[in-house]
Amino acid sequence: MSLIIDCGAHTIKAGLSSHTSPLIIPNYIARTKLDRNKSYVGSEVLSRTDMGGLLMLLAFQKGYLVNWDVERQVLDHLLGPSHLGINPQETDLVLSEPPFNFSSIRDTLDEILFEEYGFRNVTRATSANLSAFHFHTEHPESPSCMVIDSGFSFTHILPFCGLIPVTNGFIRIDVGGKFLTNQLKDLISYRQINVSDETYVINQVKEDTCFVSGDLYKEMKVCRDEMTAFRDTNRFPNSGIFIRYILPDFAGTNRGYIHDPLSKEACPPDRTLSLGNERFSVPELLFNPSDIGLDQMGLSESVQLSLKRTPPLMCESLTKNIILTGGNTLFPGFKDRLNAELRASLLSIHDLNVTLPIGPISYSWEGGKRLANTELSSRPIPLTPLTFQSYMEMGHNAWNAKSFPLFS
Amino acid sequence: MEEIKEIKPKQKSRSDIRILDSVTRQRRKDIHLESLEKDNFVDDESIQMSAGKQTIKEMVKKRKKVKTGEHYKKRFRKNFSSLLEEIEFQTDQPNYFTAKAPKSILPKRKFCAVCGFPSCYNCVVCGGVYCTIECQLTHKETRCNKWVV
Repeated sequence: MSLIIDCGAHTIKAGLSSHTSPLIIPNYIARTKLDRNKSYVGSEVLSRTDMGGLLMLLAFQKGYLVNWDVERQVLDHLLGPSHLGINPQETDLVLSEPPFNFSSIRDTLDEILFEEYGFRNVTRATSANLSAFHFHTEHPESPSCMVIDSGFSFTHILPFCGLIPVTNGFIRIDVGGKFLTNQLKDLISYRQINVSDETYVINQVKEDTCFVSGDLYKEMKVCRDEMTAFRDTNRFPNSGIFIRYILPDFAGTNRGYIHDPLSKEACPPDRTLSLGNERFSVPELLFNPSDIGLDQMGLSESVQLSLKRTPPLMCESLTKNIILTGGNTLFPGFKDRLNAELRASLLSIHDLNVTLPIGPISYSWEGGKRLANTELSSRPIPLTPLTFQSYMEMGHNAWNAKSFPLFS
Repeated sequence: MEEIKEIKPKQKSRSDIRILDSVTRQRRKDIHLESLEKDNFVDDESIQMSAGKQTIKEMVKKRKKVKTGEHYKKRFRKNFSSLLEEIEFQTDQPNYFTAKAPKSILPKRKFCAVCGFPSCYNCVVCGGVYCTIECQLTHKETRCNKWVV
């Protein structure tokens, strides 16, 4: 039996190789403001109806695992009888890690996985590598692919030659879902209602309303016109950028929703947000982080830089196979915007094909599932597992010995 | 003419305005960017502290885990900055630092700090961007003087 865990900073995607889709559960411990002693681990958070003033205790910091206390509690909960209910001694584990993972994190992870849980064997790969594997099994004719992984902590651009990562071309933009949620929270708190403590709710607002604009200045103008029209006539446009959003009060409604301008429903003033340019200026930070003073390249510029850093012969194949993964790619218009910006900047001889898979969040988990279902002999060496016995014999050095079997 | 004379002394002359130097402006910007990396609005540290207490309590309840829990906390409690120090600086191998996206070559765009629309004026004092006199007044009263929410 194989267990695949794609361990993200915000959610864990986990499931057995026999499952069709993974469990997606929060990878943090939540506390409420009122009762700080009661904590909710992992999926217990989702069972709460009142999400107001939720404090989150994340295991990850800037995308890397640092708080082992939290992570172990979440893993205990996940492997326990309430979810998977498996026996680690009889389980093969496929676990994802962030790119350029620190060696001390890896060592600790080994210790916990083998010595605490006692997994039969462990395969460790970056989540992008699993995505590349997924893509490779679907399109075996493509020699290389470029994974754009835009997650909770950061956005990575990762070119792969076959299944081998071209680490020279790896580029990280420090803008992720958390950054965007906080920016939206900051804008709303400054302009309208103070929502500083409502990270969970504002994350939902972001998911419900934000989109990536095709033409920023045009959209700004449309939004401004709608706002002036509203000021004059006090009427909201039927379908436009300027909308009203009703926040949940956790008494009658547990989830916020977009107010339908055609309905006669009254808007309670203390929990109504008027969202105009926030809706697209927030996701815009992925493409232009410099808008709020973060001195980094945007997404399409970084892709170009990454192409420059990779061997020129690969470029043609890379631009043909760009895969988008991670939660931020679910913003409407994300793919079209990236496609348009890249097309404008690439040479005409380069074909461009940006693919947004159906489930971008679980794409790498499915890659892991395919990996778990392939035979060991047909796997590339970096994706082969480390067994419990060899770890017990060699400790952390076992990984190196595995990579160079000739010297062991 | 008399009216103008009355108003004039009220206006601040240029030398009276306290103009923030570039270091302070940068620091303000950095504080804002750092705040966007936080998990919660309240101090992350304070939650972690209370969490630590909580887990110790739990550990005491489950006797079996007392030793391991404490052990892991002592050995592996590291924050992100101490992890970064561990990276060996090997110039020929790509690492966490080389992967960081460099500064953009495109010019910066300007958006009003108050309403968010494109704008072209800068606050004399702090360098913040605003678009109209209305927004300028709001800016002056709020974020220009004190770095408030």
